[in-house]
Amino acid sequence: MSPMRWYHLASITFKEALRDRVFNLVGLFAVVLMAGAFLAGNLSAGSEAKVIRDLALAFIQILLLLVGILLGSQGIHRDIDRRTIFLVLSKPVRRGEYLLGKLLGIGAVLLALGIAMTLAFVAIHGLLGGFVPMNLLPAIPLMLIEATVFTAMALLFSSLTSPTLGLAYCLGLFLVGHTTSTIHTFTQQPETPDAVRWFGEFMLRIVPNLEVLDVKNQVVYGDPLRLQDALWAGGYGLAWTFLFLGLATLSILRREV
Amino acid sequence: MRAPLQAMLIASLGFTSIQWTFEGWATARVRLPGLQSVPPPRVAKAIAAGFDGFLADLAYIRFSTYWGYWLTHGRAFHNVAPLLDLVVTLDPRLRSAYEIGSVALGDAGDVDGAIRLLAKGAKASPTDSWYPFQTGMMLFLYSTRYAEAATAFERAASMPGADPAAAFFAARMHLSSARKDMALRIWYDIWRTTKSPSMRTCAANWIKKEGRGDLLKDAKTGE
Repeated sequence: MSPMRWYHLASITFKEALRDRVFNLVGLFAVVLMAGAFLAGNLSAGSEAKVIRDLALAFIQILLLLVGILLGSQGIHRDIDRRTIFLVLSKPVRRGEYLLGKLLGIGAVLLALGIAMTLAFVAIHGLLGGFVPMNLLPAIPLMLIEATVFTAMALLFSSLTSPTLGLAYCLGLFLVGHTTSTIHTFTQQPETPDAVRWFGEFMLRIVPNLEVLDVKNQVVYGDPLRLQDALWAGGYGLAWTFLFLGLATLSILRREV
Repeated sequence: MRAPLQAMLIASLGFTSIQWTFEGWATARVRLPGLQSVPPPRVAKAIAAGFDGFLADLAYIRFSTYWGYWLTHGRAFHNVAPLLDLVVTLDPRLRSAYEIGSVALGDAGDVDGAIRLLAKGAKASPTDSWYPFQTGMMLFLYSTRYAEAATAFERAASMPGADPAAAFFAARMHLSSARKDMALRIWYDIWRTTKSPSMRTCAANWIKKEGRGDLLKDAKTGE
């Protein structure tokens, strides 16, 4: 285990993402936000500021998730196709370190992208005539952690199946992860049969409950976010990240590469 | 390289003109009211996957365009209430949906729908006096249920940070529903407790107008 090896692997992944022009997405984000501001100004009758903030936070979350999932699900396959994985694994690099390096590199891309989009949001909000309320910003680190969970999940699926299927599984788990608490509530009604109730309980316990990482609706209305809650949520997300990374390592250890 | 680019440009222009012609032909023949159905709010909430607020904004924009269109094109408002229900189920704290939605429903003759909408808002923001105040206004402006309006205004007036006009409206609604004693009680309370000289004068004027100037004299003697 060597942090220098992790750093080199992460920097290679970061440079690959740069070559893929991932940061062009910041431009797309700015265009969508300005179009949304124009639409909100004309059509949203009294809730312009809220629409722009919702749009910005939703778009930041979607882009971070998509970038994390796409880079994660293509990462291993691309290295196998280009045969660079043989070059890396022929050196004294463990397979777990290779995956950790990938995760750290994609994490750095997500962090840079998150910062760039936040700055674009602050600039556009300023141009429209107002400062971004500071209480909105704590939502973004939690979005980054959620995107990291999905990057690790995509690396796991990438080690098990094709990139397309991996992408589909990740999107499916995103929907399930955000609805487990709702499914749990629906299935715990007094008249629900025991089997369905048990299923709801089972779902809540085996699928990551991503709602804990989602504070968009709170921060948009200026509700204070307690540091303790944010830290617990962040820790919860990181625990799932390392679980997926561990499973991906086990999976790649069994593969003949 | 240049030839395929030109071919693509010509092809896309061709497709655009065909599409343009078809749209013109179709819109001249197919007459649909624009919005056929609204998704069930509970289902939409369940599958929103954390984007409840954003989807509520989209539904609210759809409501404002739908309502705005039919306001000037025959006033067919049958989807206003379901759209507003969808908006406030997705985001129960979207204040402008209650502000504009209650007026839209009241104007469409659906006062009960407006009251139901405001009741949802009051449930989501129980300490906000605006919701009972607006309920009173809806009942006052779009119906003759003055006793219910008075109750709503009284509830608003009893909440912290309430509009000072709420108590006056409550008294006026009691008077309109032939409950003079209740109206006098509220004006007397305002006259006794308010720190605003203009409100005190206004309350005293109403008490005198109702022929109970003696209440003011008794109170002064008592002091």
